[in-house]
Amino acid sequence: MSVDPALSAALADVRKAYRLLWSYQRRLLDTIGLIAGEFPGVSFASWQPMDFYPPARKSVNPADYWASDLLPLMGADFFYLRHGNDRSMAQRGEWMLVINVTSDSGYEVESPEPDPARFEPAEECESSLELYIVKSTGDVPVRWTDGLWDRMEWPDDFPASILMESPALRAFGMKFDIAELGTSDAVIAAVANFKASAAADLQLDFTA
Amino acid sequence: MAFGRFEDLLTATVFERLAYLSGDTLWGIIRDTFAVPACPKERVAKLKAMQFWPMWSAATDTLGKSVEPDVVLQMLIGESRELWTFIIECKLGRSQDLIQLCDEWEAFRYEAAGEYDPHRTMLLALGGLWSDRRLLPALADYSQKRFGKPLFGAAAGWSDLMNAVARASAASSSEARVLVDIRQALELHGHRIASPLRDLAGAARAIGVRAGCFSISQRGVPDEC
Repeated sequence: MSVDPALSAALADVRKAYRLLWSYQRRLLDTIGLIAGEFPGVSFASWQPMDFYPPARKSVNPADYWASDLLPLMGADFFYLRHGNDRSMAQRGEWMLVINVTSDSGYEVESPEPDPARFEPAEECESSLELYIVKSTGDVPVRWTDGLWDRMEWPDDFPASILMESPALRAFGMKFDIAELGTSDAVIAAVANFKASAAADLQLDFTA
Repeated sequence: MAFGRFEDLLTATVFERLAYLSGDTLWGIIRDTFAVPACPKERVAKLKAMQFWPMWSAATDTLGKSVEPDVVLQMLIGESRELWTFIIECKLGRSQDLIQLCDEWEAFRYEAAGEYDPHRTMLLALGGLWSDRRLLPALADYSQKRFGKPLFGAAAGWSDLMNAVARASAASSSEARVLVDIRQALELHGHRIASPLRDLAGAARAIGVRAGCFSISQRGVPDEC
């Protein structure tokens, strides 16, 4: 058995990549926590990978699924609800904060499982974070994630004001380049900007 | 109710341990946490007293009720050992309340009588900061209207306290253990030292990945990383 020098070097790169991802994800999760902390009276409700399945449970063979299922922070949504709100069903007038992360805008989701080597060059892609306030406007309670969020029309342009009848919702969203969110001060300023715009657009009072 | 229980538990856990530190270390942490110019700059300090939830009733006729601040910290600061009183109101999962803060100030004025010095008394709001970060200007406005002058106040989050504890230099190995204990208590309540994304480039270098390193490889240039 001989060691393939190219493979050996590539595996060293993989080890570095994992460590870099670990460092990135720690900082990304801290940043998400910092953003959520700027909304008093709001707490974490749930999260989900945006385009992939969540990492397989212990009894499920990950080999039967795309390898990207094990990279959930490539694109993910984090949901936060106000204290006292029903955690599963959105009642009329209630709102949720959604923090959407796209760590690499270049990934593709068309079957069969894509080859990342064919993605757009990383330098030409984005790492972005989108913030949304999604407010239920219907008389009939609807589930927060698969009832409202997953059925919401995604905006192409930002800031985005979204009005839908089915599901009945109003939403406001802004998009930020993660490279602009390097410090706590920058994050707090971005969130303040988002809150002021969302409050005006949706007639909400985030201090209440 | 649940928030109230966690709030009291965290308050007691953290401040009881802070009281074990030397006066200088404790004062350094308070100064660093609240980072206000109004705080005395002296580094020498001695803890005179730390009271938890004292029931102040001397102002009941004026306020219509007794008042119970979370922590009252009295320190002798500087070589001249000036007595400073810090009235600390802690919030966890709920917002600070201007009326409550001002009630506590007024109650202390009645309660302390001889020891009350408006220039050496400070309200410290820990946690429950308003989302628009305007708690202090609002406190100044409200106290101006209520008392005819703005009160001395400062505000910080639990994470600020966490960072201050992390930055504090322990004067002894026993102090180091107390500082670790406080950090662990704060971590148990979900407060950790956040790593900003700006540090990622430094982390990458430490891992052995230079900025743009992977890009160079992709373009077919020999990998020098």
